[in-house]
Amino acid sequence: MNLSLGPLLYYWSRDDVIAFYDEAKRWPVARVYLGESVCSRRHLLRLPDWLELAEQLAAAGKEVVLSSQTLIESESDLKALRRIVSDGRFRVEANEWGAVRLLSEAGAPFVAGPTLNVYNPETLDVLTGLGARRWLPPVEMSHATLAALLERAPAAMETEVFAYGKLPLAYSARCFTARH
Amino acid sequence: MPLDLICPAGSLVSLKAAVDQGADAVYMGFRDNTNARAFPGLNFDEAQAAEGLRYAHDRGRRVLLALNTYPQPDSWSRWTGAVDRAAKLGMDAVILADAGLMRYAVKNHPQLRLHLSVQGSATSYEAVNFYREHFGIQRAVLPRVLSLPQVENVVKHTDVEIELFGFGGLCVMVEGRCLLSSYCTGESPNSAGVCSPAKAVQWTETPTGLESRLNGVLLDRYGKNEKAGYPTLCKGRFEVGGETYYAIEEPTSLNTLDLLPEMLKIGIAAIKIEGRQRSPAYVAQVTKVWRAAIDAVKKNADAFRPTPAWQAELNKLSEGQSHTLGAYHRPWK
Repeated sequence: MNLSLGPLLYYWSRDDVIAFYDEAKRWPVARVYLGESVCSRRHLLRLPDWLELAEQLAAAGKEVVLSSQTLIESESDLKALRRIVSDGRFRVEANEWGAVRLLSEAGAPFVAGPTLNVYNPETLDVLTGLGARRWLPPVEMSHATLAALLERAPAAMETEVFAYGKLPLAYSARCFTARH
Repeated sequence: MPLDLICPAGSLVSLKAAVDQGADAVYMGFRDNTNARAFPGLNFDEAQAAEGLRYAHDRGRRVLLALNTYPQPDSWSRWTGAVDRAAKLGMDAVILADAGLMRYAVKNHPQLRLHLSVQGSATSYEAVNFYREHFGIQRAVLPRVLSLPQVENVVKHTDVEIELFGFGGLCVMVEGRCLLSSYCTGESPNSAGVCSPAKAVQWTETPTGLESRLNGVLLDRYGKNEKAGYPTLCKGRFEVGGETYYAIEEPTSLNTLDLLPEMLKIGIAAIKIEGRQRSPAYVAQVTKVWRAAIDAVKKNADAFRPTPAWQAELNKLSEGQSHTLGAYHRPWK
């Protein structure tokens, strides 16, 4: 069992984000998820910035995973997703099924994120066939449900659970940048 | 077939009302947690479903079955059993959200038409095309978060028919991506088919007004002349920084009559009316207005204007105090 640092869900200043990951290099975490997974209108860090951080964390001995957007709305969101998938240096966490399509087409092993809504072993098996190597249950999943699911989970699949921090309970498209 | 009118049937009476008033298709659920309106007193047992199918088919209309919750590991067979029953009954399509259940349906009932539920949270053509390639879905219902130009971009890049919500209650959150109800009660639309399960809702008259609570958590307190809606966490009034207001989002209803010409132009296959939990009278009135509007826009899209009478009728039926064109219309873009 090892520790992962999940993707940053908050909207922090650029300096704060960079300082945070600078510290993270020294933390006892095996794996760091990087990237903007909540809102495509947040631009304080761009993909090249995230990739630069990814290189630094990898050099510090961390396994890096790039988290994809949970809500894809526009063609530019898809462009960003394609760039993450095609970069190829780091494993990607798919947070919606469009990313699953692109990653399986690219033949890239991936992480099935918590918003893919995997609630049963059959769906987990579908994802295994498409190249998922690790998965995260939805954050609402109970201990009993997870235990029942894992009894019949594909053998090679790694399971990662959200263990500490504020739970992302809902995603809205009516955020502070929207008018309606 | 563009702009088919798809209406909610929470009961046999509602189904007949929708068909009588001109729905092209109705959607229903079985009487358990295999659908996202698993409320007591709603939905269909097998005999009622068969009668509903007969009533609709005799009049040349279709029936779609919502099986749009996520199957749970200890009761997987409830969902596969529901797919089997849908095929046996002769449902015109099943509306699914779960990839594992789609795989089961394709393997065991290859002739059964599959629609991707709004609960599948597919907002891009890459996601829609994933379900097309792997499970042969014929139609996708898009979450109510995209602008119409974004919807048009999806339509242009897929062979899958696109269905949009046109009228009814509007979620604050993206469909399939909201666990607020679960946080408070342990049950959510995804896992249990309910947002704010009825057994966890409490109404109390107090000297300061009618209070709604969800599993003990105070969601709202209504003044004398305020209309009380079904209590959900996202639409509660909370005290933040000494001020009490709709801290998450002001509740509004969706009404897209004005956008019908645009929806026709971009090739929307079907318009869905929300509200399987609403009364047969509601279903009848909403269906009647939307039938007239869709007929009018198909006859002459350029001259189409919603009549004041239609809007007045729909405003009477809206949940909450106001209605909106939703994300479809973003004038600042």
